[in-house]
Amino acid sequence: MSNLGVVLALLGAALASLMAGIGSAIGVGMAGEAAAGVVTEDPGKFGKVLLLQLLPGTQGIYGLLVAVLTLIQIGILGGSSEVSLGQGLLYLVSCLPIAFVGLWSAIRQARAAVSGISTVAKRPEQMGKAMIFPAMVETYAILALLVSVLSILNIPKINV
Amino acid sequence: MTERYTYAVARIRARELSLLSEQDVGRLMACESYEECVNALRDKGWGDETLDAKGPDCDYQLMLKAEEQRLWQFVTELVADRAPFRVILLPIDYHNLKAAIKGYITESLEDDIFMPGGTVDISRLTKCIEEGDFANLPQEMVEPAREAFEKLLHTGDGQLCDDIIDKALLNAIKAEGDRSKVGLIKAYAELFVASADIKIALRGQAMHKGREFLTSALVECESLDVKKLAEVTMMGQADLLEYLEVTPYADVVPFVAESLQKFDIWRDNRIIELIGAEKYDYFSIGPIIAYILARQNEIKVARIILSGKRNRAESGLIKERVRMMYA
Repeated sequence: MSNLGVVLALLGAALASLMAGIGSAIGVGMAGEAAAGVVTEDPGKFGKVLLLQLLPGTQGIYGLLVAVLTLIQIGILGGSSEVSLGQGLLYLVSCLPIAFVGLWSAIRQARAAVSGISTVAKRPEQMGKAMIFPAMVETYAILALLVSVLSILNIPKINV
Repeated sequence: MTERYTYAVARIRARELSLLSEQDVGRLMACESYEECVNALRDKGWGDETLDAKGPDCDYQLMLKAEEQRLWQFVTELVADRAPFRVILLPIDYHNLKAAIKGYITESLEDDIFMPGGTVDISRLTKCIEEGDFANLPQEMVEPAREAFEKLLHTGDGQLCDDIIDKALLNAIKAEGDRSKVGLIKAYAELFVASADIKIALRGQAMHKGREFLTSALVECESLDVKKLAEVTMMGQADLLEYLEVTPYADVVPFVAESLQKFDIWRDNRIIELIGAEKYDYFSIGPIIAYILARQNEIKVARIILSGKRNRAESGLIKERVRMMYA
């Protein structure tokens, strides 16, 4: 199979967008349930809980970013898509950090966001602090994103 | 899935803001009159429009009953299935069983002897008792109901009937705790049974009951050695208190040393301490159960204060009966 390199790279792009997207969908859904609960009792807190609900959504965007970047690099979005088997494998591996970390961090971030939403429900003046706890989880999604992006951008320089 | 209750717990958190705090209780106790106290509770959203029409002189029992109903309406809205709350509802079922048996035998079956909100339908309960069809009762009620019914019918001893059903209740609560996978339900069931055992021992001692009564009334639990409890109860109060000192319930000793009435305050405070940990859980059924217990506790506290105010009791007397609050 001459295009196995492209297949592997596409698999990486698919995994990045799928897994990070699934994580975000679960996370935003979970935080959304909590946000809806608070808004049922106190509609005035909509703005505050919405911000917290959106936090686990970023991993899905990171996954999409990595996937698009991979597609551009391998020429799927225009130009020729000539990728060696070795390079294809490297693209696949490069996509894995955001795929796995995206999935897991979105779910864990959602749990922190739900806790933050409960904090806001009882003590709305603590909104800033309630945002910080789930935001800390974001650090690790960003680190994974960086590793994936830097790897993908540098694969063409590697002769495999 | 532990996240099943995310929406419900979030609503509970928002509702917890309206629970009575220690400061609110202080303000209620500082009220000059009963009417002022009723108005203070109305300002906190207690009661409903029908009670508002009756003015501040209305019967406070109606207001508290309305609050209890409102609590269960809210909980049913959150979780339609009442099965997770059985551990809290079982005392209502067993109270109704007692009422049905006694009411039928003494030919005084009136609606007001029953408590609403249990898991067993009251009409089903009374029908089973009236027709002697005990097999149609829930499994764990069949034998105690038959035994209590026959004992009451043949001896006319209401206390014996109560003892049989009370023991059945403790066994049912223990079984509920053993069956549950929720930490709070397990801990609550254990505390309920252990505190009931301690109360049985204290009462048994005060009423000079024999060993036979104690061994038949006490129910096995993990945190107490009931054989030892029966033994020390027979030996005297000092030995009983000495034994309690080495159990997880050592903090009950100063309360019971003062008076038996203080025991209930200790028990209610222990429940509030137990549910305190649920303030930091955001996903499980625990915070919902904690909210129910907290609301029931505040209704009890409001009843103590309102009844004291209505009867013009001294504020010191009211204060010493008031329980710890969850909020």
